Amino acid sequence: MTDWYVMRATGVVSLILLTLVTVLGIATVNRWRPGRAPRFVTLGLHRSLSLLAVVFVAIHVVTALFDPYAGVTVLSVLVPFAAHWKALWVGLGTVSLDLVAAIIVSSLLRRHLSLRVWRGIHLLSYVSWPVAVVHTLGAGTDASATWLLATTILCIAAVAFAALSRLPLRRGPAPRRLAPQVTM
Amino acid sequence: MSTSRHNGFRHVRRMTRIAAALAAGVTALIAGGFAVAGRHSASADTTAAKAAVKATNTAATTTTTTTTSSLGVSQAPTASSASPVATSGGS
Repeated sequence: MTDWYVMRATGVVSLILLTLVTVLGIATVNRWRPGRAPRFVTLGLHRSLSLLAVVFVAIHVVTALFDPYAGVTVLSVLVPFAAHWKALWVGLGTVSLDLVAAIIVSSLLRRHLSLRVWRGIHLLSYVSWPVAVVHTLGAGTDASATWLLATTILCIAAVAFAALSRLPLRRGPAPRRLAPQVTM
Repeated sequence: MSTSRHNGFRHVRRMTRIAAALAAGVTALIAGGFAVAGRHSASADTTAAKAAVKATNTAATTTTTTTTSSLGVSQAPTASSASPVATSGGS
């Protein structure tokens, strides 16, 4: 029974950590820095927290494998939509996991990859994170619980805020002020 | 390595340690909450099940007594009708 509780708890914490990693990733691109600290602090936190998130995701997956109720097999961890229980929702978790794995591996092998390839793979995080959110809401036993809904909404708000701040709000030159028309 | 860079790395390490501790703590808290809630609901289920068994057995005993009365046979309630109540109460 303990693995069942740990699986659910690590799932929630993984979502929070992945949200933090996504927000820090966007902050890195935006060249944001905490207070007077150098800019590389944001990137360093992004990297270290992503590894921490991987640890929690790994615990989430391993406990799911050992939990008889979830019925998750090794195949369904690797191949999306192969699970017997809530195939769609668990499958979305697998999709997110595979994408996170690709992002982490490509980042660890960045020296051997071109910037274009690495960037292309890294942009998959914009798919991985929302898929993880949908997995939480669909497969989560506590998805209807107020506290989990509030946590999910806060995560969505944090990423939405960070993503919106990245959008260029001023496109092109500022509109020219027209000369006042003289009416006769 | 410059002082600023050194302080930056120290900042990253400290923040990572805090985040790891917080994540572990929150996990333990949520898992503990699940365990307590699970035990609570299991206890409620057991109480409800006990009440249901007791109600069923009481009804069965009454039916048995009524049937024997209608037959005009003076008969004490059988042990089989009485025992489940005792069993369910003791579990």
